[in-house]
Formats: sequence, C-alpha cells, structure tokens
Amino acid sequence: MVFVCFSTIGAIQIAAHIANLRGLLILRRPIASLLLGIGILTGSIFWFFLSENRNINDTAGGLDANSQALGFFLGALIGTILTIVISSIINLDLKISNMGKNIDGLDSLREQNYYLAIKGEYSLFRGNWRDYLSKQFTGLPKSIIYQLVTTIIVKLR
Amino acid sequence: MLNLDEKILFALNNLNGKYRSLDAIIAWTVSDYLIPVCLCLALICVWLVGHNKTTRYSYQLGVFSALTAMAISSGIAQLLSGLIERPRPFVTHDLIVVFYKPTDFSFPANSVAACFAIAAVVSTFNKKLGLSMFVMGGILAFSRVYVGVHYPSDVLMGAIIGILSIIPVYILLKLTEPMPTCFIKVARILRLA
Repeated sequence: MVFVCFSTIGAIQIAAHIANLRGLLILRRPIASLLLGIGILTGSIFWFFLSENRNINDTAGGLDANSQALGFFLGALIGTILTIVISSIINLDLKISNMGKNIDGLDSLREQNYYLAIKGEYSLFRGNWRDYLSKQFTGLPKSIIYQLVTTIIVKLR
Repeated sequence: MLNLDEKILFALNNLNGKYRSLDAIIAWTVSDYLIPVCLCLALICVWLVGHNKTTRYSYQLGVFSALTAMAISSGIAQLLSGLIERPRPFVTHDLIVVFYKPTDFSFPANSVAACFAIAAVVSTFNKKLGLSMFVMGGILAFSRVYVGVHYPSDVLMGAIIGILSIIPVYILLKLTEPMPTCFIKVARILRLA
C-alpha cells in the first residue's frame, strides 16, 4: 500500500505536468515537479522490490488477488488525498487569471489549487442547488434499459 | 498442440540460469505487482491527461471500461480455471521454478488476462499507449512461462480472454448509461475529472 501510495503521488505529478494542471503540482516549477514525480515513481518501485522478497505465495504470507486490489485502491486513494492536500498548501497563493469564466472540472486546476476550486464550486452549489444540479445532469446519454425503467415507473405512478 | 505447448515451455524454462541479467529482469517482471500496478498507474495518468473536456471525457470513460474489462476477464479466467482444473506445469513436469509455486490451477493465466484487458480497452482510444501496454502484458506472459508457472497455452488463452472482454464491456457500458457519465459528472463537480 505504501508503494502504491507513493507511486500514485509520482504518477499524478507526471500527469499534472503533461496536462498543465498547475494546481496539482507539489513544486512551484512544473519541470521540477515532473522530475520529482519520475523520481518518486522509480524510487518507490526500486524500494519495493529491493527492500525484501516480494514474490511470496498468498498461502505463505503474500497477498491474494482481492487483497492486492483492495491495497491498490486504498494506496491510490491515500496518494491522491496527500497530493491534493500538499498541492493546495504549496499553491495557496496561485493567481486566478480566469476568474468569471465558466471553467469546471480539472480545467479549473490549471489556474488555482484544489481547495480554492472546490470552495468556488461549493459556493455555486449553495447559491441555487436546484438550478446547479439540473444544469449539471441534463442531456446525459440514456440507455434502453434506463428509458424502459423510467417509462415503467412513470406508468406505475 | 499439447506437444508444441510443452516444447515452448521447456525451451523457455531451460533458459533459466543461463543468462544472469535476464533472470534478474524476469524476477521483477514476473511479479504479481510490477506490471499490473504499472498498468493501473498508467490508468490514473490517462484519467488526468486529456487536454480538453471532450478528450478527457472519452479517456475517463475508457478508464472506466478498462477497470470493468479487467474485472470481467478475471471473472471469466477464474470460472474457466475452476472448470478445466489444469495442474501447474511444475506439478506434472520437472522444471526449474524460480518463482513461488502457486497452489491454484494453471489454465488460463489470470494476471495476463487482466493486463491484456486493460491494454485492449486503452488501445481503442490511444493506440500508442495501448500498444505499449500490450508489450507489457506480453512481457508478463513471457515471464510466467519462463519461470515455469504457466504453459504457453495458458497465457495465450489469458490474452485472448483479455482482448475479447472489451465486447461485454462495451455492451455493458451502453446498457448502464447514464450511470458512467453520471459518475464522471460527479467527479467533475468534485474537480477530479
């Protein structure tokens, strides 16, 4: 889990550099963040395999497939949360040059940190949550099953 | 067919101990952790790297599909494994086993199926990345035969299951809409997509 946690931090730094998501970088200079990401990723792989024998059967103390999947999920989750917290602290004073533009999702992290982005989204939600939700969830693709179920529900009413 | 299967197995397994550098590389690539974890980390990157909303949406739907394909292929592999009950090659043959000896059945190779499932889905929206994932899956398959825990036909069948798992995934994706899109929308509200 520690291996996945650190390698997730590294992978997010590499991806954030490629996608220019400055709000997710944990160093101010993007190139430094990229190098740090590559370093953390390769470092965690080497640490994991060189520290002890990892090829152990699940009947002899190793992890079975389900435990591996759970470990990966938890490690990736912790790595993501750590990245968000650290990058929000480091980029606390990141300038917002596109204020007022309709930017949502990850695009907003190009100009501001995660904390400010989610705070802005929450204020929009709190302002008028009905309009907000209807705007977000209209025009979604609907499968045949979905259409069938909704038709049955409407008819039953 | 079985003869050819055994011939390839013996040819690869006999390489053990002849090339120290190859042995050292295989000790890493055969691991349950390295290649599967690297592919999943690549999926985390794919989730984030789309340069605009449309590309990102298709990539994220792809990540969703890849994880589903991985689960489906693993399920099919488990099911077939229980039905066919083929013993591991080191049980029936005198092989050099430099990996731990798994206690479950050999056919088909579950980890190879999962890796090829991810690669097959990714190659539908990003050919270069998909191809490199296929190469990684191929390395895993080669390593598994090299260390004597699978027959070549096990890994071949695993790869086929993995590739074919994209069919039920796309049917499932179409049938479960708007759930996947809703999930991505919620993630977008939380600034995670």
